[in-house]
Amino acid sequence: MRTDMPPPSVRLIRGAAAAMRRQPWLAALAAAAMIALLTLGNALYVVGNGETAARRRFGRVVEQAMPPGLGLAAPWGIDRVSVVRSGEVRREEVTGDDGGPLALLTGDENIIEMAVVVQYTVGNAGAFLFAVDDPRVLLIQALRAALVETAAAMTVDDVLTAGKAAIQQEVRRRAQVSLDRAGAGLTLTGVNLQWAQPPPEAAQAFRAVNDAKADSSRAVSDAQSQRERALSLARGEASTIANAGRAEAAERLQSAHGATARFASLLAQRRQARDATDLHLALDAARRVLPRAHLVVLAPGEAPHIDLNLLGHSAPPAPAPPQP
Amino acid sequence: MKRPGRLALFIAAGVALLWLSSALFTVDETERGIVTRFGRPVGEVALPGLHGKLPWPIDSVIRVDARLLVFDSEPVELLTADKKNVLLDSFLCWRIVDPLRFTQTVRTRIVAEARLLDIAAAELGAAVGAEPMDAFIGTAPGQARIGAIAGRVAGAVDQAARRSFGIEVVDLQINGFFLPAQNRTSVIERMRAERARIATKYRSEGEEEALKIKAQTTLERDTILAAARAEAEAIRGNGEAQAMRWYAEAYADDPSFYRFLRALQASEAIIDEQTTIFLESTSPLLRALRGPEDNAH
Repeated sequence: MRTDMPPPSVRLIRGAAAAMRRQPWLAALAAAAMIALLTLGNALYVVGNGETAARRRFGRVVEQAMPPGLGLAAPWGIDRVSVVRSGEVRREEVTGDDGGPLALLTGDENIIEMAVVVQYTVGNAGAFLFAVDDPRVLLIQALRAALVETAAAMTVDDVLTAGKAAIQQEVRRRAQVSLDRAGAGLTLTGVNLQWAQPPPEAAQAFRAVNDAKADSSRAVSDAQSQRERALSLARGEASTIANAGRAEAAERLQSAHGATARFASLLAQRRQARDATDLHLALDAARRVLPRAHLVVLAPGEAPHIDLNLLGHSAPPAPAPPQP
Repeated sequence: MKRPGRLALFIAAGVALLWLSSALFTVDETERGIVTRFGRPVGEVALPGLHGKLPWPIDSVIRVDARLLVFDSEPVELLTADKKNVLLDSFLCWRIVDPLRFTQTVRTRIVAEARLLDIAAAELGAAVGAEPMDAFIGTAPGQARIGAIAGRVAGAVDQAARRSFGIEVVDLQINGFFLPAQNRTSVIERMRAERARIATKYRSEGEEEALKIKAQTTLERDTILAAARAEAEAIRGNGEAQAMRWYAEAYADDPSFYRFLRALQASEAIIDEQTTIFLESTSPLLRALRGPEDNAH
């Protein structure tokens, strides 16, 4: 690989050097242009969409919140621009000291475990960058403190059932107050209680309460449905009773109607032939009645031999012979 | 001999420039600076920006952190006023407000936090020892005052730290209020017992409610039936009264004939197989029957 020719780059540099030696003003111009270009490159900065930047001059913040776009700053370390993704929704999990679920004490001295996720954005880029040593740690600790205080004022039942939204709201409010007091430049956008549970050793007992609740409401709804049924039956029976009354009344009226009609026609008949009608009626009755009964015919003035019929019909009284 | 002399001059100028540049210093937004002349602080505390001083080695700059610093301490076991053990975890936010005093007394963050922990632990121990358990947790409105108690402690720690170390305690909060591990079993036992009681309560409440519903049902059913019977009776009575009216109207025409007919009807109802009738042979009935054959049967 022996050659007399140096590589092209070396030849280029050598050529340029030779040209500069010949024309020094050109060299100075080229150097100035290069410095100007580098300076410009150094002074330009870009703040992207969803980003905010803070500018420091000699370390002191001169601009807190620079909007997205292309900008110019003093070059060469005079100005420093720090960009923060302020639009980004960040997320942290709040855990216990061992990284497991957070264990809290409720107001009624029950242990409750929960997993909480917090979402936040950078509200103030300058504060976020320069005011707090570690905003993330501050955020997590502030949330833990807020959770401790919130749980301390609630019952375990509230935490486990209806209180979820209330917890989220209250924790967010308290933690935001802490963050603002610290001037951390963070804005909480959401506190999510992923889950809250009693400790595993007591979980069975808590489930048993739910079972009891279900049993209880089942007993009540059973009673309700029995009630519906019983009342339906009662209403049915009531209409049967009322209808029976109506039927009886109607029957009575019918029979009264019949009887009065009969009476009217008999009366009309009797007015035409009084004795015959009476006799006929009497005989008619006798024909219907007498065959059923024992008949004892007595001579006029004879005292009746009264058999109280204590022995039944086995010993019927001897019929008295009719009087000729 | 001209060239080496020029080179030396260049080097000397460069060194001089470098030395002079040590007369300028910047303080970042996150810092405060203290200028010391041979170790003795001079002038005001340097705020963020560009500053001048005498060049090295006369003046030098000590920088301290001006940011809010978060210090999370380890949980400690404390005793409440009613002699209950609690495991208390706290964190504090602090900041150097008097850099001079800070550098004179504690110098570094690690030392400062150790001192702050000493003060905070003492104040927390006193504050917790002065309050019963139910000042920290409780469901009555305003009962749980963890935040307020921590705020009091923060105030006390702030006062002490300011005076001694030039440190401001911005916030002290309790981020863990729990029971020591050895109490856990008994708490869980109590929780279980409490749940069992609540389960029983739910069950018996359900039964009670069901019984009430049943009793109410019985009452309503009886009411419905009684009302129906009353209605039926009323209808019957109306019917009867109407029937009576009809009878009375019809029989007013001839009461004696009516009595006669009723008597006949009554006799039909009264006389049965158990009845014995005594008739005199002269009775109109027999007389009417008298004929060729005797059938007085």
